[in-house]
Amino acid sequence: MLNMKSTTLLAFLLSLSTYSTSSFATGPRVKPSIFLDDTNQLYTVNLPPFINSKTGGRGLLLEIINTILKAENITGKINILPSKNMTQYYFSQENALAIIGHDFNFSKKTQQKSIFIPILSVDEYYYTHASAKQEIQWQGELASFKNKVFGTSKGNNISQYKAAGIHIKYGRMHTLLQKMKTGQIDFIKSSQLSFNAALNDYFPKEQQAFIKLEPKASETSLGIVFNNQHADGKKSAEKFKTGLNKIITNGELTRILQKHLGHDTQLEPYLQHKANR
Amino acid sequence: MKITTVLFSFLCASCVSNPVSKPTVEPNTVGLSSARLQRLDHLIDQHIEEKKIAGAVTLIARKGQIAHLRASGLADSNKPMQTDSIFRIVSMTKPITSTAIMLLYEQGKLLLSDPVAKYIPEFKNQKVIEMLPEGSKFPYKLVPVKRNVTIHDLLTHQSGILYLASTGWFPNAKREQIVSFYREAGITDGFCRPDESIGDMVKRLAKLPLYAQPGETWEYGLSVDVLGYLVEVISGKKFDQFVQAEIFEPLKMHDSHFYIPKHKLSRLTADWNSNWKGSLERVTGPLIDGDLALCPNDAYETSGKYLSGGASVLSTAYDYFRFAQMFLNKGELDGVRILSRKTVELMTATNHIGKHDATLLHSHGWKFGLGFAIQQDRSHDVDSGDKGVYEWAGYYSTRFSINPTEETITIFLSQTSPFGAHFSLWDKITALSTSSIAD
Repeated sequence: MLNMKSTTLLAFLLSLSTYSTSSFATGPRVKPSIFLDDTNQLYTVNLPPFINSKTGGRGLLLEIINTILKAENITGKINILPSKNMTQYYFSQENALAIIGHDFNFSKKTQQKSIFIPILSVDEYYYTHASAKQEIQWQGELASFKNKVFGTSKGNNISQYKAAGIHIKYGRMHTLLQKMKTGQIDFIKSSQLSFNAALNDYFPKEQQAFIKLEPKASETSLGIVFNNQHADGKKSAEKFKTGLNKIITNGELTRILQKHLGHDTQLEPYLQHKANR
Repeated sequence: MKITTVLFSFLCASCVSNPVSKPTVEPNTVGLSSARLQRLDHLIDQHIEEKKIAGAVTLIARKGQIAHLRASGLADSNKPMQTDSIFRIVSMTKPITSTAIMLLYEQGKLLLSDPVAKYIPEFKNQKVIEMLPEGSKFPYKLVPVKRNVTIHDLLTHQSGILYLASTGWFPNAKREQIVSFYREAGITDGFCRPDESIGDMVKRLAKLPLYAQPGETWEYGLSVDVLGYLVEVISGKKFDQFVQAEIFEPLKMHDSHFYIPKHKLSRLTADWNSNWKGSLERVTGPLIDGDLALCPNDAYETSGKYLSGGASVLSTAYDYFRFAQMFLNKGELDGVRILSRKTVELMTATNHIGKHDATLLHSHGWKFGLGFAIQQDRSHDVDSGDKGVYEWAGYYSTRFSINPTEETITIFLSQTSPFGAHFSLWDKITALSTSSIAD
């Protein structure tokens, strides 16, 4: 006869045997699967103040995009990478849902799988350092920079600069500014907002030494590129367009712009910009 | 009985503790030959006369006593070298950083098997690069790590994280591609002092692909810089403040700094560019050689943000001797315990890299512990005197070697670029130091 205590013990032992053996096995403590998720992936690179990894992955453009993604129920994780080359890899080779930014410099093949939705229209200017200003004569033609050194990020299209006899040096914005200060680079191209953000970060006391060259160099569109090869790509792109129109119409986009820029008017929504032209 | 116990305790304490004093002792009192040590003087003087190096400080200690401390040549233009001259010890910073990590290990704040991602989330979901055949539509693919990079991987350079300069040492397409990512992301080797925090750099580095699967390679690189940031994350203190409080102050390393105090600037030695054939020039600007960027003059900055666990420390021969003697004493010096005996044994007496050899500064027959290369046999090209000798070196030509069997410490500090020409000089110094043992 089993007494009460024995019955309890037996029940306990039996209950242990119902657990899967793996619950007790000493397996590898760290597996990649602990950290992996299978949500849709979106990729971008740091571009303050539009995309800012230092502020917890926020920034003006990302706030607009996140607002639309949430409103339209488009699921996806935005990854800010330190390499444009890697964003292009994930887009073209690993079926990322989208990439975010500007000047994507896609190959023809990648263009065919892209659905670009411009969000903001931005003017870009050339900048130089006061020490090099006398030798720079910018009047709107790249030829005036012949034999000068242009600083830019890896992955940007430099064909027109090469064609104009301009030398190229690569680097992040921080490096480019340092090299411009020391005369290793003669000029760079940037939106005024990005340039000012970089100066505030890296050369807050030397802002006067960096000079914006008029007239403007070009216009660029900041936006999102959906991957039409991705199972959710086309559908997400349509939903995103709808969401963008909604926040333009209901004033949400203007509210976000004003939150980040006050009443600065150097930026305008791409659609508005297009309508004004 | 009581007296016997006290006497025994005293004698026993003196067995494990080798208190040191800056004044040197006669070499023969610690079993070293004065005559043979003079050969070391001649070797250094010859290199100075031939203008291969500008100057140096050499230190040989045995049984806790400094038997040889000598300054020769120039510390700077028209300024003679002094025994307390301050040097950029560069990669000799790494054992200090490894010690900081092991202090946290001993406090139960981390395990060596912990994934780095546990403390620095940017290390989650890392990828490893695989090159694709020429003509492929994309030159590489990225595959998930089989397991996450651990603290042990960082301590032993098995993380797959590289130095940019490694493209010059062992060029191949995969390495070039990784270094191209590093360049694009503004990663530097830490031999300059960029205007950012080490955490900013490490977070970017973590998002870039690894050169190889963690644990499947031995690649000397920025792993120890990551450890420096890890100390900040886990301790909640700035890395330099942690090292100052936990290592430099207890060991009385009063002349060791991440940024030199203004009043010690005059003691900082200049760096010299040597062609190793008699042309010696004081370095005045950055030295850029392919992907290698050296900024020796950044060491004159008296403050800054960048705290490289792999390269930032400035120190003297005497201070580094105190650090090395702490290891030789199995973790304590002058009655102050920094590490436990068992931790020192774990760091210095064990091969942590399996089948790989730590051939970068040495040769086959050298393995790697937690912050040091360790000699495993005496049948290969580089011999530092015994199995179990552990040592490392610095980019501007500095080297230290600790022989636990013979209780010797050898330190050579110079400031000469480029790096590669110095191997034979270093090896001769350890050979002469070892052969001066005369008991």
